[in-house]
Amino acid sequence: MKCELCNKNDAETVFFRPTPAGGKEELYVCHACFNRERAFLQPHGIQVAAMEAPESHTLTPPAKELPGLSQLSEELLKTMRDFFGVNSTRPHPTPEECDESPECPKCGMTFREISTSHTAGCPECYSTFRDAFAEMFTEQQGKAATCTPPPPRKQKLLELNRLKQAFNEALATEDFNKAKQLKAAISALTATLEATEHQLGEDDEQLT
Amino acid sequence: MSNLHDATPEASVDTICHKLQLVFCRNLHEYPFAAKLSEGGSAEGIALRWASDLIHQFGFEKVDELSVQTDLLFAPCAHALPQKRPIDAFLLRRRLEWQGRSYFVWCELMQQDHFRFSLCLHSVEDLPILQKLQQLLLQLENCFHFAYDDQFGYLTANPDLAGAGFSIHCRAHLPGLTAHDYLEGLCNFAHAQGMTCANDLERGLPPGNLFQFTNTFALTQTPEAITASAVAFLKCVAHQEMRIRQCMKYDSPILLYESLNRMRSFCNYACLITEEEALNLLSDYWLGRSCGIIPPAKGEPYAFGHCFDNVRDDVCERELHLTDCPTDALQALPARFRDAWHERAFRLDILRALWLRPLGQLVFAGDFMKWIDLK
Ligand SMILES: [Zn+2]
Ligand SMILES: [Zn+2]
Repeated sequence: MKCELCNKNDAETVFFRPTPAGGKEELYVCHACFNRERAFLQPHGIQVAAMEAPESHTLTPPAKELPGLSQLSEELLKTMRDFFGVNSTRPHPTPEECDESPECPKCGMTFREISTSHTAGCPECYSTFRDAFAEMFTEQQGKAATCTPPPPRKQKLLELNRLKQAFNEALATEDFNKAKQLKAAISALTATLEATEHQLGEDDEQLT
Repeated sequence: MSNLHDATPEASVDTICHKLQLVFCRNLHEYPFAAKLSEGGSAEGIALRWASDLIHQFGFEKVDELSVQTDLLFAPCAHALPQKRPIDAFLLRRRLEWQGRSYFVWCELMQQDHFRFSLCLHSVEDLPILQKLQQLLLQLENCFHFAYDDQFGYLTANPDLAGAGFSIHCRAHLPGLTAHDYLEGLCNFAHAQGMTCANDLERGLPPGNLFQFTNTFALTQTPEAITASAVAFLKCVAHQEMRIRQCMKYDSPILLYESLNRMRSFCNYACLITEEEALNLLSDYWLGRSCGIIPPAKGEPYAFGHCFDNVRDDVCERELHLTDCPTDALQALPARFRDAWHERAFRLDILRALWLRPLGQLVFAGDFMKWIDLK
């Protein structure tokens, strides 16, 4: 007999599902369906563990077993407390400390203003308060967030565009020597880019 | 009747998810972010210059002039922003051709960020367009020196978006999960998957069972990776939602038919209706359609033709007034758009616009944009 829920696996166990009318319905299901259904019946809603992402798209893999709902909300509360500096072992700077703390030379915002309004004043704020930002990001997003450098903007493509522009300019001013050099540089760069392009195509397939 | 959960994960996601929006926020290195620019009073003409660059070099066209002073009122952090004199702000758009179809890339200038590029999709199948959008951004980098930091990536006014400077907004219709009280679990699951649910559950259920999910952070990730995890998240949610709908269909078909009848008579005869009521009726409509009780409309998927006894009748052109709509946000629109809204006060259009319009809590111009995206 096939599982009555997925119709794919063999039925391995019996599952009593409450009906909206208040009764119970007897279903013969596979273990996978049983676990999912049971998780759904938890009084507090879906358990996080019951809805893990498909393996192909593993997100930040949990170090240990995913916490249950009650633990999770406790953890969440803790993160929030930490974030807002309540009962935190390492509190955010007090107002007095902030008065001493520097303002962003460009826009005059202090880090306290930034963290309360959750809005930075200018791009310079990020370098002025680099450590504070790094700390905030680590608290919110974990260590990896600030240890790993961000994906670089595609410098090579930019470079290519610039070279092409220069090439056109050289042609326009009839500076053929320069144009020749630029053309060589362009074809070299195009070759390396095609290799990366291939990679991009593969990423694309994963995405869909 | 076919089994709802036999559908492919992608098809299930499309069933629950009506709108996906890809958003890139970019800023220029040498200027403070929009809020600070208005404070300094040195902003005169800057946005105009950028707008003209976008128009002349990159094929954008101007759609509207926005005033930061009114528009930022709708930003989530509005309370924290000092009210300053308005500065120039613009809404531009540009066509982007992809796989034989034409999309709009919208650009809001001088909202929270200097540039907010966005693009709306109706299906996860179209997500590869992300690459095309990124190519456009790369071209823009030739002209604009976007603020970028070697440690943090692209710098944005909202620190959460620093890194990729990218966010994906997914609007999901989840009547099954709502009806069966799984919302708390849903929000926890979203949180665990790096997504944020924009609906404030404290204030009750979202009208129309519509939820808006956004990636919480963008640091150290590529836009592709953020999109992939959002899709993975949506697949899980869609799977559960489809299973519940399947149960609803077999366990309580009478309830489903009842709500569909109710929906139909309201849509046919009601003259005054609140926005929330209308959204809830449309939610029933979509539920009925995904369960195969209402046959799909031919052509235009959002035509809502089956809401009415006979589409050819002029029923759908009978007037319908949404008593609390236009919303506050719509009232803040320039007058000509308000007029447009009233002129088109036919129920079919209103219902459609209402359904495709996003939920609140986005920066207002983004809200407006999706509305205008219908035309
Ligand atoms: Zn099964
Ligand atoms: Zn600053």
